Amino acid sequence: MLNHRLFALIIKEATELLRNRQLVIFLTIAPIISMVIFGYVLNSNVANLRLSILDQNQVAISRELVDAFTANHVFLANRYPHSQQDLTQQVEHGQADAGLIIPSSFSRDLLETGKSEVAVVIDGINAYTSGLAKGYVTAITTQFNLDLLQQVQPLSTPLNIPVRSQITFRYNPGMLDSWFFVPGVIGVIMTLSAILAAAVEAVREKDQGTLEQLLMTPVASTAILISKIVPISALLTVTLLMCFVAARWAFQLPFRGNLLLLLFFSILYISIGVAIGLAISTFSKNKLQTILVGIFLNIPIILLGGAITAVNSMPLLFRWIAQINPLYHYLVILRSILLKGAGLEVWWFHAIAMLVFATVTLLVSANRYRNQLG
Amino acid sequence: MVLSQSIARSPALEDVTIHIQKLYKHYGNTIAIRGIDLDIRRGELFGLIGPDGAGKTTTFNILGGVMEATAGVAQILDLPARNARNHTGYLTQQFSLYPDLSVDENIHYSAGLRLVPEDQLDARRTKYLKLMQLEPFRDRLAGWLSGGMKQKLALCCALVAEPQVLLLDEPTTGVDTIARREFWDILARLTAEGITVMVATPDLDEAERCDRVALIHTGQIQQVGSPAALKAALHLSRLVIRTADLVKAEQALIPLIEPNGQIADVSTLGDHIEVLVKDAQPGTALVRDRLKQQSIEPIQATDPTLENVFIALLRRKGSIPQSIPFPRSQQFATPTADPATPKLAISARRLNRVFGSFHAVVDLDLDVHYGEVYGLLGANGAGKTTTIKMLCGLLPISCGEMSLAGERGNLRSAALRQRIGYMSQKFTLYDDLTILENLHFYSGVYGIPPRQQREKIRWVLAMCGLEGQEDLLTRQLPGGWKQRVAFGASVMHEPEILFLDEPTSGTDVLARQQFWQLINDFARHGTAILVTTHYMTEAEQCNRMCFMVAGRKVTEGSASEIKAMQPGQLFELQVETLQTSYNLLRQHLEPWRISIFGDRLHVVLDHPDVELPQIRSWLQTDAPSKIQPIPFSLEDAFIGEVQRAGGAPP
Repeated sequence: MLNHRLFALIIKEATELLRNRQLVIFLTIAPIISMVIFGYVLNSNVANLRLSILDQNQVAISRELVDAFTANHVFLANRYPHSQQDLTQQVEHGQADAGLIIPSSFSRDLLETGKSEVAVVIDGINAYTSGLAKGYVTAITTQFNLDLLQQVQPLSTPLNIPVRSQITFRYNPGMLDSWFFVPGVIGVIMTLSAILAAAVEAVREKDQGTLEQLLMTPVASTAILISKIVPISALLTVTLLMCFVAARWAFQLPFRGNLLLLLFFSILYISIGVAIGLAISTFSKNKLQTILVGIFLNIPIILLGGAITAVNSMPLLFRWIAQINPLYHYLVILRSILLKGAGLEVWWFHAIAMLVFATVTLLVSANRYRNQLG
Repeated sequence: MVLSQSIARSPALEDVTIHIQKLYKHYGNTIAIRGIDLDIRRGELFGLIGPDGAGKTTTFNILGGVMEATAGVAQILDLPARNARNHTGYLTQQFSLYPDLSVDENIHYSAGLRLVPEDQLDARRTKYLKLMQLEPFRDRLAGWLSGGMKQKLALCCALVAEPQVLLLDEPTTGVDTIARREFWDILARLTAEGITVMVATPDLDEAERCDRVALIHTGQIQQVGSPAALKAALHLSRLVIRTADLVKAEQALIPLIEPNGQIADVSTLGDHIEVLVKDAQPGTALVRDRLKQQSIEPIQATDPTLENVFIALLRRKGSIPQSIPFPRSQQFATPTADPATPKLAISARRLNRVFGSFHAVVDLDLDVHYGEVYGLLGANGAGKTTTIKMLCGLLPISCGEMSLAGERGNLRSAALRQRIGYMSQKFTLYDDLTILENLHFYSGVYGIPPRQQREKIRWVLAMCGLEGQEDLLTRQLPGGWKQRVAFGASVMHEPEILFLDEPTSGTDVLARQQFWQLINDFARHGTAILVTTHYMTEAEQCNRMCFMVAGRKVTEGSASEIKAMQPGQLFELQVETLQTSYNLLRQHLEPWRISIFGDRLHVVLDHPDVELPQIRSWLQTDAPSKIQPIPFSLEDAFIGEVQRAGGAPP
């Protein structure tokens, strides 16, 4: 009897979901497109910074320095102003991201005193880019200096550089940013899709007036909950698999772990999202309100979940808050399985956290759903 | 007066304001209108009556200038309808207001759209707000108004441009009885000022108040005339028979129905039977003879109603839906088995519900027996829906006691819900599912075994006349059909108690008639039925009923009992100058005591001996040519009760 009812409920939810073509697109094609876009766009490497160059010295050595700046595609020389004033103006107006000023006394000072100075102006509006640019400038000048020293003092004792660090990156040997971001984006998409789709579908029942009718039938609220979770989870699981295939093809994202474990925790995470969405729908009066609340809730979940930021570099308070964010735990599991191929023995703590979340959200949501008219 | 000036300026002064000739409208292969001819005079209150899908809304859309006709002429003031839009006010079926703007802002907005001169706007706004009695609510947001007030505001917005023709497509759907009567009073006053009003309504009681009505069916006008003329043309009399055992009497009379015989129709309504006969005298004799074994009260012969006219017309056209027996698998205790201690289906004592500071239901006592149809009547906001939700266990009660199907404690158990049927006010079907999928779903969640399921789904489809169309998406169905399917879906599991919250809102006469046949059929098989409605003609069909005002029960009993309980007497006055007399009497009598019905006035008087001479003296110049007492209708009784109890909340 119970199964018969549950079956009727699931058939109804699935039919309704599939009839809503916009929602199906929102849940299948849209996530893959945004994942690919984010994978390309979210990139911490800096390249092709526009460099304005004022070389007042115009000798071989000054040209060598300019070459050193532009040789590696970090900087792209695009402007050659005639005065220092022009250069600052260009940076100010955003026509250039950085400026290099080589004074006319550059080669003379170098020959006479053994040291000389150049000025570099960097547009600091984008703190992230300018920080990286500063690092590159330092690296480029250091290298230039070393080369210079070798040329000038070829016969003297070889330079002693006591410590040379040799860094090896495990799991992401190419230090590909996309490998970090793409699982994060997949997590974000699953969060957004599950919460919003569930909330909108559930509040529609309220809008239409079918909710009262449904609550008057002899079905248990857990059955209603299950029937709302199953179709959305099924659809999103298909989307998830398609995302992995697309990520493999576009970003060569590895898949090193256990697929079944990954699917289990992904479905668990989607269920948490659906439960949160249902709970939102019980608090809202209409579709618009639901969507706004849903989006408002999504922002902290995504920002504090470590999808595009590193939780470990957050202030202590936020690191604690991240512990009560299901996305954080899901992403740890997702990245561990995908990139490291690590098993349950490594991330068991996060697995337990997710099970606790699932239990709590499902219980709260079932309870709210049954009592929302009172 | 501002209005008469604008008429004087108008391009056409002829008597005919709306002229329709050989009008056709096709939508692809379906023909919505097939050759309508109609002329409507200035200042006429003209009613358009017809079942769902008859072509009423299409006609309005063409006259309103929002749709082109396929062929034919549709003129307003001698102009093609599309060019006459500045002289036309059109209220569509949907509310056309902006819920987040105030009353004033809504009027201002629509005045701006219609280029009303700024210097005249204020005067007009004040005039119409006063007419609609909306003045105290000028700053209230439209979304917070009641249904009746919204429609009055919509009318205000249409009137602010001072149109000469008003087109109103079912303006009173979802508006409660009291607000409806007020709305029609306003329409009568507008026509007295020379505005032509064309109005569609599903309620035939309302149509009685029109100067002329047209019956439209399958895109053609079948009959046109004043309500009195149409009723006279039927050549039938209506006999009202009261007896203890209505079921037996009906069974005895039904075999006598013949197309051209003495008895044309027999129907059971709540506490009496109505029989339509050719001639009053021989008809009465025939009925008496047939019911010899039963004790019956004296038979009253009265005029037929517009509903009789309408149903007779549709029967001739063969459009009356067949009654199809419900495939039952169980039988409940018959109601008449033990009349001494009837089993109570619903019982409530001192039921209360408080929302914040609002006391929605106050100390309500209610008993509904198995096999009984009980009506819960009241204006919008009187607490009907809250009551019904508490009684079926959807809404927790604030305090009081109640039992449902013998259950006292947990009203939310699955076992109890299995025995209860519920149809809420809103549509209860899933729009994105097909009809069949909806029915599969509801029969599935009620756990109906597969074999019975097929049988019952077949029954619902046959009952709604939707066989072969079960794969249609529910959203594509017209409102009336949706309601029928929803009703079918809520009774498939054979509930022993059925809650129906305004089941017939927005349905046509035919669907309503069929609804009540089904409801009565379920009641006869032992189901207890609690129903709310705005339509007083429907309320007549309930065995018992109560009126609710501001959360309290004010009267309870059968329709006859309630009518008999009314103090005073209702009089029908025939006067020469209707509007002047109406205005004169309004100065002396409370507004609810007097209303315009077609070319007559209805007046409720508490002490006729004293007040009738007074009325004659007030109307000196225009003494009524005829004053006759008429029996209270249930609507009169309802309005009287509500007014005596302190009136409906605004």
